Amino acid sequence: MTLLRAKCIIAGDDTVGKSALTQVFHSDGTHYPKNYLMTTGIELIVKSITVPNTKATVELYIYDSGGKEMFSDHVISNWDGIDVFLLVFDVTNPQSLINCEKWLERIKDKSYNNHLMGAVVANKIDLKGRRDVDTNAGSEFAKKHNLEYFECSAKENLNIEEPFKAIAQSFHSHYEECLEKFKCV
Amino acid sequence: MANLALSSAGVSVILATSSDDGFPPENMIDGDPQTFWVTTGLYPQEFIVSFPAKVNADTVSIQGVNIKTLEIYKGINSKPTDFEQICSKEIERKENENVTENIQVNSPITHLKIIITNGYDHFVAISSVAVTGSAIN
Repeated sequence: MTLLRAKCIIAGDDTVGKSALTQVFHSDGTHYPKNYLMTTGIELIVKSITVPNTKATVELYIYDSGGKEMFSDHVISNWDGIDVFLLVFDVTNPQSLINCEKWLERIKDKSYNNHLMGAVVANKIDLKGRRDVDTNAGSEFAKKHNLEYFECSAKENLNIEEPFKAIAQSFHSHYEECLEKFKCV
Repeated sequence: MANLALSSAGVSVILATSSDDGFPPENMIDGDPQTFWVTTGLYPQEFIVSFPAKVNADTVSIQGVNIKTLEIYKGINSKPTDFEQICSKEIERKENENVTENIQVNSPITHLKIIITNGYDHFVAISSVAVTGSAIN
């Protein structure tokens, strides 16, 4: 059996639903935080994911990071050695997608070798009437940066596990690649 | 000079913070440079090599891939306690290449604690930990 451990950063603007996404994922959909409680620093939670078709488990150390600009210096100082990340935006707020560029730059600064393993998550797709960012805009952004793209709703517990599974899978693939390289030197 | 840190001589790895069944920590002291121990994510990573009896160590050589910074500690008691730092090093970057780092010890030791405080990639491989010196009669 292989147990991998990854530092996973959840980044994005304030109020896009990073904590909701994290908590719904952590509780297997049983806990959705109904009231907004601003994350001022970092909330750390740990959850294991089994990588499909392998004997490997990835233990994700999830750093749910406050998105308010006021706390960004403090928050980012805890990001050293990022392994994987989710970049979250709110489909009712186009500015939150634009700001993903900025969050991505900050993530790159803290990554090994600029080697990125992450996904873009469009949250709040339950708010159909207020949606202001279409699938195309979100997936174009993801494609441009060579990231996977997911649409989800933390409130409806829709498609929450998929982005986490995807990054766990890329982390495991990278581990396998490293093993192959190590065997050759 | 002969390598004292060999499992065939009764040396063991009594602690390692990562383990993948296919790449156990014993691979570092089996005398085979083809086999290795691999870390499985996050830093720091740590392991302790223990000798069956105290030895006079001259140097420690660590051979691995992607190690960025490491710290080495020695333990002279029979139990693996009260470690004292020998050095803290930054290793030059070499892409996918085995790098050997030699460290002077010049002291009796029973245990060696090695902490990889950071790596150049998400994962580090160590193929060998070798100790030169002499046995204490």
